[in-house]
Amino acid sequence: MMGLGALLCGFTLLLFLLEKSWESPVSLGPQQAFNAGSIGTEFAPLPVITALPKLFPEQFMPLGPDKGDWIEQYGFLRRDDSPLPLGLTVSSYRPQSASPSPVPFVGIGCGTCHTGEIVTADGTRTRISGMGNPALDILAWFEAFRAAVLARDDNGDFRLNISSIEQANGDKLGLAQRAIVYVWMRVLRDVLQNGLRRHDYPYPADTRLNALFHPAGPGRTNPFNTLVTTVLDLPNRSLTQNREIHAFTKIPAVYQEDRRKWAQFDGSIRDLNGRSALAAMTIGATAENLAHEEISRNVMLATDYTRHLNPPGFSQATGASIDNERAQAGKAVYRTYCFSCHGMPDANGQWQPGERMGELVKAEALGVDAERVSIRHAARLSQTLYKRFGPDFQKRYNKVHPLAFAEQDIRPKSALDQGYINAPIEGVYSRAPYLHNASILTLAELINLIPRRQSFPRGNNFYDTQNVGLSVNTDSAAGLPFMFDASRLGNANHGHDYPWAYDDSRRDEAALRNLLEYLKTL
Amino acid sequence: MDSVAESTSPRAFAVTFLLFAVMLFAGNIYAEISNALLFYRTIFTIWMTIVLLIPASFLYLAGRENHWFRWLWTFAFVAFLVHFYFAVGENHHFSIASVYAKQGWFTASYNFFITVAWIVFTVMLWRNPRQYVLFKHAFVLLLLAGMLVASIGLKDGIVSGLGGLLIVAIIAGIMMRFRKDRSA
Ligand code: HEC
Ligand code: HEC
Repeated sequence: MMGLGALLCGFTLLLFLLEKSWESPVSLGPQQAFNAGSIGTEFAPLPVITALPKLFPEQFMPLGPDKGDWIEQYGFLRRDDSPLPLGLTVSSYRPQSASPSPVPFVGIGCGTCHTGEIVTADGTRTRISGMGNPALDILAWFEAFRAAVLARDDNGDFRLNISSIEQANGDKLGLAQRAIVYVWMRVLRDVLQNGLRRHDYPYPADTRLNALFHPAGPGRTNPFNTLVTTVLDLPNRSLTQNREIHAFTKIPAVYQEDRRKWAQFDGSIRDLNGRSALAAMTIGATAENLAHEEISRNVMLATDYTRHLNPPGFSQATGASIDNERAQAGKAVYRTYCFSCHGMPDANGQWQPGERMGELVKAEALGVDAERVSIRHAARLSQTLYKRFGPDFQKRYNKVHPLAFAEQDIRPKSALDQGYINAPIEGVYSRAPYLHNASILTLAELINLIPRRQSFPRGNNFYDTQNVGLSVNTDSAAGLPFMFDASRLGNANHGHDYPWAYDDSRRDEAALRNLLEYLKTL
Repeated sequence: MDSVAESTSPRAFAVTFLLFAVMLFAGNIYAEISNALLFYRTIFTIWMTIVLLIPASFLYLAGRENHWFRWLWTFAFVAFLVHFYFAVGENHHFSIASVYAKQGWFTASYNFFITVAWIVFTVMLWRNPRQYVLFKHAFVLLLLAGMLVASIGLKDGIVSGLGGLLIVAIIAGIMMRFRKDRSA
């Protein structure tokens, strides 16, 4: 009896001491927190992430081995100091709980999505912190990951296992590391296997970057789909039609967030820390690990980083010049047709709000794709999220969540109140492709100076300095594998016909040319 | 005076220790697989404390101060120390000011006072089993009152259940003592 007692106590104490030794809290500045800080989204052990492309080249290089590595094919941004792309975080936290782990875990940091590159035709790359990454196809990459974890060999055994991981890395795992990787794999497989009812088996690897199979594509995600299905555990259906919703959402720029009273394309949240917490939750964080000291601090620091973030000027980022005279003339056009909704900078560069800035506009009034604002459970979702960080958390854990937000800081209260928010458009040249669903490649098309393309290839697109936005050229080995088709659900590129629709008889091309020039200066 | 040799009965020690160890192990595993490791470590150690206090208070109140009694009180105290470590050490980084800020003046003072008094009480159980009766009575009264208020106030299913059992143990213990007194 004594022996058993000593054994149980000894094991518990040993585990406790080991965990103490695994803890390695780091303290980061705002920019580091944004680029590399854990935000509670840990999802796979580092040795697994490094082994996957070697074990499953078909999944991680779906275009073939000669078309660039996984970083290039899925549109991540390369780093010089790490084999991992920019934004992926490495911490000693286990997924969901932030309990200490002997093996580092990889997570998705803010910078993964919210850092982009302008690549001009001469191959110059300008990396812009806060710009949405227009090349990143993170949902397809997640799907590759899911497929790899579920893949079996001819004998029916899982291809991803401890020994295949060790072999791929050429490095043995320690005993405790093996234990954690093993448990992680078991738990994840259970979750994925249970999820098959909802998500089905992954499509074959060579469909990964194909729009017909993975319709979100580069530069977009489906954030509210994840929230509705994971937080509410309900299907994400439409408010207006009896079908699933296709609310593909562009990864937006996050400049000068302090100017936005209500954030997100649907202006659904007012508290910036809360907003970041929800972002993290969409990619796997929990209310519990977001309450962890280091993680909540990172989220707050990363958020602060976006409050006054400015993009570089158009010329600096693209190397192209601006015709000041025409821009000056375009300013008048902007003031007449755009200022009221979007605001504009005054002589000192201070953003002046127009009288309608911050207002929600119905999709029908704008004429744009309505999917993003037709979420049947939008109100239920906002209420549930409020409770999860607010009263529910407090009741359960007897303390206030560090990222809790007030009930009046999240909306809609009724699903019928959804709309798109009139927001500032600083650094608009770097927000391409345009509109919430990334359906318009250039500003020239958005303002109807030239007709809008109905379909175009996407991937690592070059920048188009003339039409201001993305071109359909690239020097990337991966090419432009994703064909965007505006006729598909969630992709509509109509509406927002300001100042004039393309076929409007009042349409004044000279004025539009000036307007385009002015937009470069924002 | 009770001989301390009798009180250290290996059997009572072994059983109590095993009960303690099983709870510590199981509680920690539960915390490990939860999403809130520290929270559940703090909680399960207070569950352990109450579980051990249930028979310990029964024996105390019934006037049966035998070796079981001493080991149960001692391990309840050890469980409480572990709880104290997680609650004050890990949650508040041993900052007394932070505990006061979180718990408020009254609760924090009570908790710190009980911790110190429990140390004295445990030493006395072993060194002066028949002395300082008034202090011991006062300590047990204060401790049980605090446990009951907390377990009812916390509205946590398990803690309230344990609180209920503690009340049963207290009533049973007092009844035993009266029966013994009357028959004496
Ligand atoms: C997986 C990619 C991804 C990651 C990682 C991510 N975001 Fe976002 N973020 C998005 C998308 C997509 C939206 C648009 C949501 C919408 O409106 O539908 C968004 C919206 C935002 C907005 C609102 C922008 C506006 O002006 O309305 C802010 C601010 C923001 N994110 C900050 C952050 C911060 C801070 C982090 C890290 C804690 C983060 N995001 C992590 C994809 C991401
Ligand atoms: C009635 C208010 C309103 C007016 C007037 C208006 N806009 Fe917009 N604008 C919006 C809304 C709302 C959105 C978001 C729609 C969406 O994303 O689908 C938007 C989106 C945009 C975007 C895309 C931003 C992004 O992140 O993709 C640009 C660029 C833009 N507007 C420029 C202009 C210009 C230039 C004018 C004047 C010619 C103008 N807008 C007039 C309300 C307006």
